[in-house]
Amino acid sequence: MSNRNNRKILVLGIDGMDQRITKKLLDEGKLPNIRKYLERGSSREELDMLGAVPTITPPCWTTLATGAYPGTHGITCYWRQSPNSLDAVVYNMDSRNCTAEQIWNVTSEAGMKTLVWHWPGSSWPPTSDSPKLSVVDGTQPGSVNMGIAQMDWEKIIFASKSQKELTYLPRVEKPAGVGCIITDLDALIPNEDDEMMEIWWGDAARKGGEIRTYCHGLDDSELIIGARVAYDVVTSPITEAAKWANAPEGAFEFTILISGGTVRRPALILRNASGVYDTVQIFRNRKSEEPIVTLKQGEMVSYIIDDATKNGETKKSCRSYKLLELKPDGSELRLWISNALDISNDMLWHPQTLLAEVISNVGAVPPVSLIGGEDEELAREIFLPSWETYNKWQADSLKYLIDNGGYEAVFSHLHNVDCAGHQFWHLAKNLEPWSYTDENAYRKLIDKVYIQTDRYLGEFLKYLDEGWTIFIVSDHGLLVGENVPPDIGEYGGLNIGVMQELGYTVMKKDDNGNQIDEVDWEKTRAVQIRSNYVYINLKGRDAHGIVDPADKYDLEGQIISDLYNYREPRTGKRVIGIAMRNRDSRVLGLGSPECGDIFFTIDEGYNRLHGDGLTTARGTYDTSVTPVFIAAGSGIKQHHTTDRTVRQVDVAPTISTLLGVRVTKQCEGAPIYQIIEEE
Amino acid sequence: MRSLDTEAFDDLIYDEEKNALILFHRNGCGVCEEVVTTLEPLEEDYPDVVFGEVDVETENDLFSRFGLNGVPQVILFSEGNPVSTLSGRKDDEDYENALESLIGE
Repeated sequence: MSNRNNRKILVLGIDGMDQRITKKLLDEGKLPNIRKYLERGSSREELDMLGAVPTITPPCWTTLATGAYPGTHGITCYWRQSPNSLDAVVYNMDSRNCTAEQIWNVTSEAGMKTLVWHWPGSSWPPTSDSPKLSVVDGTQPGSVNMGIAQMDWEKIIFASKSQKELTYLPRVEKPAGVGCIITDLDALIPNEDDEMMEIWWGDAARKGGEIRTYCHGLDDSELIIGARVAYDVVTSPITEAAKWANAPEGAFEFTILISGGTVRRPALILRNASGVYDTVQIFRNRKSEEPIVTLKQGEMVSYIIDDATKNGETKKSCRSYKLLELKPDGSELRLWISNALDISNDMLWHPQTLLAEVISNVGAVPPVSLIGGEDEELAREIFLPSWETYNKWQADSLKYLIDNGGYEAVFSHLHNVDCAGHQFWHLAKNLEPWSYTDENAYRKLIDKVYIQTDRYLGEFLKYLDEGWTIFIVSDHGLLVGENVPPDIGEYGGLNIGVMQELGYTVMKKDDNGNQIDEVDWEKTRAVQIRSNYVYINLKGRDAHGIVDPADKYDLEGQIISDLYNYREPRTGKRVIGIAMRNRDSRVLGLGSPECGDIFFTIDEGYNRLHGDGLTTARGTYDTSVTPVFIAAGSGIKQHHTTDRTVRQVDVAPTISTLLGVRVTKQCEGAPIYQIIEEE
Repeated sequence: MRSLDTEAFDDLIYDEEKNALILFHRNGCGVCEEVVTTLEPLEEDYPDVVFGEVDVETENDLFSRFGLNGVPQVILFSEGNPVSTLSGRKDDEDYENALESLIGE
């Protein structure tokens, strides 16, 4: 089949972009590039689109790609239910789990050169052998190569003339509410190096290994874990420079330890013509003629290639640096170093030569920071600028490939909004568990994230004049919670709290009567696992089933009733939104065996950032979980708003209609005819 | 084997970037003595590798920097980077294989 309309399609996916706050900031004049897209295109008045449920990244991106609901395409949450254990999940960002056809297979089959860029829903590995199809990563939502190329973690170096010893503390966790100043060092708590990247997205996970996460309450929730500030800490003395091949007069030196503390990088502190110490230079060693990097206070420097060593393997890796603070007399400083990304790891690039092409023409993948959270200074000074750099790299990479690679269909995803959301969105309302944070400071950061996203989107405006149709879409929004969420509905694993209180889930105890992390399957009638699913522990189906199939229907009814009657202890209010049997959940596009025996949502007002409620849920500070939809360019009505309800399942068939290619095989949506220009 | 304090270690490994085999040990550790006995004859066979020893009791900061949980530990370095670690008492061939791999890099 040919591409009969000679159009080109660019999908700009922004993970976590919320229609409601986008509209607010747009009306305030803060998103000028989105305004330009709207002038050249169509949307609903409020920019909204109905998302699939669960409002979770892989299901929703897969719905956007296939035009099918999660019950049909089979990607029903961040994780997949383990086929062997009711209390375990397995990796789910694997295209081989997807039972619906992706639109990029259709476009490549139609002869269009197609690029799928970091799409975290059923894109990797490629499911078409078409030579027209290129795919980059898609195995995790964060940033390109983040799951497989990490060589060394983020660090903060505290150097001082009063510091006596050089020390290295891995993955230090800063206690809640503590600021980030040099005198706080004693409050830092060393933490186990949990290698979360490996556990969630590493080789073992991708091969289907079971992951057991027991969520007992708020402390196990992502709101708390995601906002934790943990980095490697290096403390170093500052002394007069000695033994250097080339150290200017008056220079001081300090030491940085990288690669898990096993490799040294010496650094000089230099003064300017006025005698003020204002520059730091980091060297490979004291005999080096040239520094690896030169830093001035407040400027982030990226794309620095240095060796990083992990498990005995040394790789050229890309890092960023920022000098957070340097006293004018050179006596104290704080310096951030990003994680290190191996620049040669092309295992998630198809074809693999694409990575080298991007590196030589644009640059190596710049690492994004994953620290910030409750430390507002780090969120502002490190997290956001690191994403700004990454966004520009991604825009430049996509533009390079579009301009030089002959691509005609591009499906891309950017994660800055969602990543920021999981770090600090909830801090924009000053609830009791994080009462020491400043909600106004975090509200300003939310605005900055959207303004940053608008800059990214602006990079692609030129393609509207080059015959492209551009879609701006998201999977879900993130809301700022009105209340602390209940102990049910956490997407990461098994939710014990409410189900234990209701008597359905029973945990074992040790000899001293203390509860342990092991389900007592002989007494457990049902469990709640992942974002929205309850499973009956059924005889003949589940490994340790105790519920007779004849009793299943009545038990489901009882659980649904108990969930509705449950009252949240802090407020005394109902917190369950809707609850229904698996068969009934087909009305929401669910209803497959992967969708539990009962589907439920958390009611508005008690939601987490996203995932546990309906796609229409709203939060404080004009936030919502509702995704965004804007289309512009060739074939799209200009400056047009439609009353037509736009659903995520409609995006793929609309693309098919615009391009004149067939619809995806399992498509359940319909083209948004109301925004398409009459030809 | 050269006895190294932290400063001499840093100079040798990071500034001079020598190929090196470093034994982290503690006085009075019997297993450490056995490793020394094994390593000493190898020193002549590998003239391009510096053999050094670090007493972790006097050089405690190196012990903690490398996250070592005990002694003896042998770490081989190339161009300022650790390339392999052998914990405890290993067979003679293990040290030889590690040295071969080091000079082959």
